[in-house]
Amino acid sequence: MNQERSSRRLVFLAIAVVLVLCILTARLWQLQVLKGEQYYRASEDQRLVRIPISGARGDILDRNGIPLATTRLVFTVSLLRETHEELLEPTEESAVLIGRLASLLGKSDEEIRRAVEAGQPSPEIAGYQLVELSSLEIPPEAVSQIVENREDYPGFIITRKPVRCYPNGDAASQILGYVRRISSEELSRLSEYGYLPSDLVGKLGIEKAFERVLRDVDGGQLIEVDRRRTLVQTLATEPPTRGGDVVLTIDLPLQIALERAIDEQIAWLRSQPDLASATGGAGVVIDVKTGQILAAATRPGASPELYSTFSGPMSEWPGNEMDKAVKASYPPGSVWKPVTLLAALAGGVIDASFVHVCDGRPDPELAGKSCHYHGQVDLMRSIEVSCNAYLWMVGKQMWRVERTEHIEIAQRYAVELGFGMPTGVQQQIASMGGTPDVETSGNVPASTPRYGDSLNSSIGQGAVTASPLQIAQFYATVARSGVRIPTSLVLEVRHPDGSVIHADPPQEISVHIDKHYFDIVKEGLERVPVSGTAAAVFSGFPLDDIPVAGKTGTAEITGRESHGWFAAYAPADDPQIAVAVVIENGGYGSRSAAPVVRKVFDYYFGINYETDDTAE
Amino acid sequence: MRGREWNIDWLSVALCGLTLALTAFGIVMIYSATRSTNLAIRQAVWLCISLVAFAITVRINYVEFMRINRYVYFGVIALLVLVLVPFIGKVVNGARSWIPVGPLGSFQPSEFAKVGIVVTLGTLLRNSHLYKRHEVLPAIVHVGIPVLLILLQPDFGTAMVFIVVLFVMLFVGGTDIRWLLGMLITGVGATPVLIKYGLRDYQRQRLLVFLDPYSDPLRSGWNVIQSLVSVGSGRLFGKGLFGSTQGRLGFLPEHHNDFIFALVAEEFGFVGSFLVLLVYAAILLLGIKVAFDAKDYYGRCIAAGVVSMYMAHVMINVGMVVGLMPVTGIPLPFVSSGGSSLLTNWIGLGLLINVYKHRVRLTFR
Repeated sequence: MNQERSSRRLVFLAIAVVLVLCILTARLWQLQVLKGEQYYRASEDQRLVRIPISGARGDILDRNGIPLATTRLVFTVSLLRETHEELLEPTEESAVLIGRLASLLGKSDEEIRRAVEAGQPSPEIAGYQLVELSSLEIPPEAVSQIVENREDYPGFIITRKPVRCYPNGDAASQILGYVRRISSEELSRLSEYGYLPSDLVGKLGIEKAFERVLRDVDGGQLIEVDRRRTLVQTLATEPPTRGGDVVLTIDLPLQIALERAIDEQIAWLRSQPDLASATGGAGVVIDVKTGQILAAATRPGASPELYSTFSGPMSEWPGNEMDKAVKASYPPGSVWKPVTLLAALAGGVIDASFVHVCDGRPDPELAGKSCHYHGQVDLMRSIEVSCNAYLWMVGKQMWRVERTEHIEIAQRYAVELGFGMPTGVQQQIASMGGTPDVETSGNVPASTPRYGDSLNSSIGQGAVTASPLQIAQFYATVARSGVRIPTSLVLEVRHPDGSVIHADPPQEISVHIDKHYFDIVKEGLERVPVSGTAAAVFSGFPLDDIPVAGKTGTAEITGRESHGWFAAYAPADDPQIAVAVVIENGGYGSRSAAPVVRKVFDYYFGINYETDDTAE
Repeated sequence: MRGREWNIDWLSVALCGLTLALTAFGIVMIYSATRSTNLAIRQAVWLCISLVAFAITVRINYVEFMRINRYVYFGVIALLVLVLVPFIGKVVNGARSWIPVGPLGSFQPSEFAKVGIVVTLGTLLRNSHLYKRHEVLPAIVHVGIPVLLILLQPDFGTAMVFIVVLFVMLFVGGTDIRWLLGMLITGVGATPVLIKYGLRDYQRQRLLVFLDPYSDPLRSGWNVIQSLVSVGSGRLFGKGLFGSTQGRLGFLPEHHNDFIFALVAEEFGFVGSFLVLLVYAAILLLGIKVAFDAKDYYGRCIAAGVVSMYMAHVMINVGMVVGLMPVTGIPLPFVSSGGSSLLTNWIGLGLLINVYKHRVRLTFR
């Protein structure tokens, strides 16, 4: 009886064994088959860490291939977060380590300590976080020291960090723009392109316009870590992709010559008791044959690196970030006069033989404004000596014709000559795939019932405004006797994938003004440096070999010193470059802006003054 | 009978073959877990020692054990007391369970206590079918004393094994089912009280994280979570031999030891771990067959005791690895690294073979 019960119970025991093993098997099925993928991912996630490797942003080059903006790879030290925390504690060990690093880098302990305190934690990846001592640059010799003596530098990881640098200081700074940490607004707009909160983006100028070309693509390193988050092995390395390059039409040496000339001029003007208010200036050099911008300066400048690293209040912003050569519009003053004269000739307001006697007396119709005495003035002489009375006379005639015949003459021909609209830079950048900053259009004279306003416009005052680039483009158009070429700034865009986009050949637009009228105006302009308003400035310049055609301008502005202008092209018989320079609050153009232009020509045509140093 | 002593039969061959294969597999897995030959060689040495002990166990007719019954029991108690003495017993993972024995590592008295108790309890219960319930209280006391000593170490898992062994042996020994149910109900009823007052903080914490490992994922819940991740990440076919990442990178704790099944599951997937469970099923069922064929109650009780000992280990260990049981330091029989455990389990196997060798032939029934 009991024997049988015991045997029966053994059967129960067998059933229990099978049951227990079935439960365990079911659980295994659940974990390994039903949830297997999920657990597999968890096991991969906790052992694999992807560390981004920054690539190098592409270069911005001048037309000769000289880098204007480039990326330098510097070595920095990163620490595991735990190591960093230990190093921050004032223990004997951390002091020894800091001392060792200090002697290696030739710095004081205090400097190293400050760098450690300023360490920037990188975003945490799977619990693995590095703190970068970004302010410490490690020279290559020191790198090998650290790598070879690992045990002396526990937890130190050498990382290569790209640093945007602008090797030519503040040269062309406003054209280049700068890069800074991405803003949250930009991040939300650009995140679909894989931007991270720690990325730098172009904020202005070419850096911004060609952000998508210049941008590098981060590579990565797939490492395996153990439970303590220390590196076990590197599994894969995906090299970063370098960004593409942008080649500009800018000629760096010429750019520097222009900038230096403006700077020197402003310094000189500020040393004069009456012109201490001269604050800044802008200038543009255009290749007459192609419309390419060879130099575009905005002074004072500041290195883009300063903008990139600037973190203080806005009142201490390092300088003017606006590209005044392209984006600022100024009253053009007398450099505008050829526009008025061409319009009057083409509109039939005057003919080429129009003569006015300038008696130097105040003009009652212009609230008593007066012109210097010039005597009998014809069209060419009006340019040569910049006679306001002659232009007022032309203006009066034009106003009468416009009022009686209900037509726009001044406005129509100003637009025909390229004013009141962008010069083409913006459009060219867009056609090369960039997203340009907006170029200024300036203001053309508008038809007005007020006589005085109209007369003011005829001498480039009042409502009329233009950017230095527009003025330079106009003088290039004059130099080509009425062929307008849109200006351009970009020669080539080299994409990271190797494809290269070249700039389109210049596109010529014929201005609907008789070429003959241009010849008259050009002759007037050619006299300016010889016997006209800029004769003093160009004394000593080899005008016989390199005839210069130019025009001074002094744009009066209310309450402050006038802006000085000079616009010119040379050689007048075979024009190569056209230049426009404005010196803000620099007074007479002949005294402020013209010397800058002469220095540009001196540089461009390679003129040496061995004995005769009379550039001023 | 005499001439049949070394009669080789299919059951003994199968039982020994499966166990030997499991032990060899364990040595490979220990190597995979530690990536060094140290522990694997030590385990192989222990296997040799175990085989010797196995051979001796098989040679002596189990009926003879009754004669040394008293010495075995008091020897077990003496060792369990000895290990609690501070300068003799060594603390590992919070439990004073070890006595160092030179080059072969440490020796764990509570392991030997298992076979000792199985044999001596068998002696106690051998006639239980004759006088009904009177054996129950003596049996509880018989197992209770070593269990209390083991709880003092404290080693909750091993204590649980003893309780399972006691229960199964009483069950197979023919104890009235009401007594057993009463024991069960008392045990379940006492559990909350035991948890409240009987457990140390870390043990209570283990129970809590068993209910929800993610309540403390980085410390006490870590082992459970990583064990589940290891098992699950093996998916159907596993990451291959030596392909474990969880073990190699230190995410999985004690992966040569208590959590070795997680390593098996990770490297060989569902297919491999299921096969291992099948081998255990075969060993246990063959063990039950041994109990069935035993010539007397003494042999049947010993066989049932060994089977229940194996079963308790597999259930508690694998249950822990797959998150169905709280974390306790219980090795997986024949596979986990550890000499005392291996030796004990092989002696247990020796007992099974011994009992089967002296079985009742069908012809005699």
